[in-house]
Amino acid sequence: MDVLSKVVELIRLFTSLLFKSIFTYGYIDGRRVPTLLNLAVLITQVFMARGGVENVLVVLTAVILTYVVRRSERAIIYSSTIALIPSIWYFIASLPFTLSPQTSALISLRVFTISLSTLCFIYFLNPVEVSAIIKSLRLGNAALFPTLTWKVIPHIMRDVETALLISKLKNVESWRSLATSILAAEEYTSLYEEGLHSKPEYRPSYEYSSKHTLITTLMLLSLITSTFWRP
Amino acid sequence: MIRDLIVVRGLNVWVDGQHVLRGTSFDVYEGNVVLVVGPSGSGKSTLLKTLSGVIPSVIRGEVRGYLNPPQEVLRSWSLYVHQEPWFFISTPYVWSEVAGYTGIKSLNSIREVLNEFGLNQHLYRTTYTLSAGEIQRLAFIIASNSKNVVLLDEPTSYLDRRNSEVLVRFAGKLVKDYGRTIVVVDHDISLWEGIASKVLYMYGGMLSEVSSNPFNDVVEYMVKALRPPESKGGDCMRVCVDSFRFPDSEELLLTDIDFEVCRGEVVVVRGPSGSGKTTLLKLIAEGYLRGDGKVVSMGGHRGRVVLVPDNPLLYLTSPTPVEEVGEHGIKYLEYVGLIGKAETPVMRLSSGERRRLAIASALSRGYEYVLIDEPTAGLDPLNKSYIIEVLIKAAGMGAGFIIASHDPFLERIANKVVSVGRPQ
Repeated sequence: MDVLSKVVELIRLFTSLLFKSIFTYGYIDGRRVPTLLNLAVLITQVFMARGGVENVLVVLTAVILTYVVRRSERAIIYSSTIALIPSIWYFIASLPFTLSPQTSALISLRVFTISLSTLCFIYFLNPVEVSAIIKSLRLGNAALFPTLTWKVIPHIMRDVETALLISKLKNVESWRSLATSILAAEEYTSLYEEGLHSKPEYRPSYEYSSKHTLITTLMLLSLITSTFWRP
Repeated sequence: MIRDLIVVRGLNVWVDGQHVLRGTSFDVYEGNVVLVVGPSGSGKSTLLKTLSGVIPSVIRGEVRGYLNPPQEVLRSWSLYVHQEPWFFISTPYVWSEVAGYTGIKSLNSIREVLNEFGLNQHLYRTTYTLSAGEIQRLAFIIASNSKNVVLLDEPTSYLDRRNSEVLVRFAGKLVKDYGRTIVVVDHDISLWEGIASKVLYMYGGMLSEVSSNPFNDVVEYMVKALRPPESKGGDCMRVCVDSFRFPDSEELLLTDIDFEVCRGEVVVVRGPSGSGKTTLLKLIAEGYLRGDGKVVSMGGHRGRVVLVPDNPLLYLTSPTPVEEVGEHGIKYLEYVGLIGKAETPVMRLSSGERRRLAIASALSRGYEYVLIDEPTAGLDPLNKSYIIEVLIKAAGMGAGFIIASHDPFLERIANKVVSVGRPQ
């Protein structure tokens, strides 16, 4: 049962980290940047990270700077811990093929950077803007999905965390608690349906932060320039 | 001039083949507050769900009788706020909820309207951290901009007395300043008597008008008969919290908490919503700190403590009550009055029944200390008295309880009351 309780503790830790790396801080100014601009930054960073070690380090610096400039320094710790999981895995899995710790370390660093960049994109995603985009495409109730997802996931993740704590206290298999969490989530589906039934039509609206939009545009331009500029 | 807004005659509703509302008739006048009281399971929520069209649109059921205006019109007029208000909110931030459902676009205007309902501090806050009372006030803001009728299902279930009074004050504002009409289901007549123009009593799916609290006898019994269990001393657990804050928060949530609970005793942790009652229970359950420094000292009690959260389903890890308590634990199902439902899937049990099952399970597994979060939330006085009796009985069997609650009746059986948050 000791191994089991360690596994449960790991799952709980992972759930808690994932929660903190995406949902902390509320609606900060850094989330008022156009989603398409953030997406362009992400694509550029992924493209750049495929290059040499210098490129990877430039991208990593850009990602960390994004968190710092947008006043979400704590999220770096949580996101980095999550990003470490695939990067360590890639290091171990690639070593038998590369037979070179340096090459595997570069692969690992690349995976870490791309993971962190992706988490950064998700962290600063403005679900209200995504809803508004879907609404403008006249996709009906689908406009509610992004904001509802952002509202529901923290709720469910907290439940998973509580259920896993209880499975540990009760000394029962963690899958039982996970199953209970799924049943609870299923109940929530119908409760949300009831709750939203009589609400007025959802018309999402949003505003951009000119300061952070400008900074992000400059960062994108710098990244593109550094990709193509060779002294 | 006061006019009829809703006229209901001979309303019959069937849900899952069960005849829930049986020939219900009543009128609601424009700009009035109508309070519906009655025991749990009598059909109060079904009435609101029928008026808002949740039945039969979301919950399958059959509706027969005269409704004026008809259900489709009532749906567009009314705003239904569920007993669990968390399911009313569909966007992640306070400003986005107001902007998305009221048409108010500028942040300054949103701030103004939030200010009117005492929520001006929360513009950028995430909605999953809002308390029940704050969500209901958010619903009032949406109603004040778009709907004529507000249907409130047990809005004070998760609120302490002070916050319940604040909610009623804002409900009064919605009626007086915005001319809205409210139909509210609740258990406490005294709370609403200042603004309710009519009190209806629902029993067995039928309504009658009343002037006094039909639960007076039960309430009187609880006030007179409830006593703390006799403390036997001996094996005790000490809980010390120097200070605790969430890793991402600047503010301390819990400070200077130091109390002891012995087996056979009940300790009630009270405090307003958001004051850290649930967090304290989780910290005790974990037996270690997740934040800054050492805050909880548990002596040698790790592994002998269990937590029943406010959603008791999360505690249950077996499909039926009999499997949850095990063969040797069937007697505990008897203690909590669930022997008749031993084989019923837990998903079909009511919230109150799930709580009783969780207590039976904790006893059957031999936990010495049981931590329970809001065990009586949303229950009428009669069902509340069942839960309280189960707790007294379980304490008599040697279990120690730490209960987070704002229910004054639970305080009557407490050997000790610990306050967290603002001084009470």
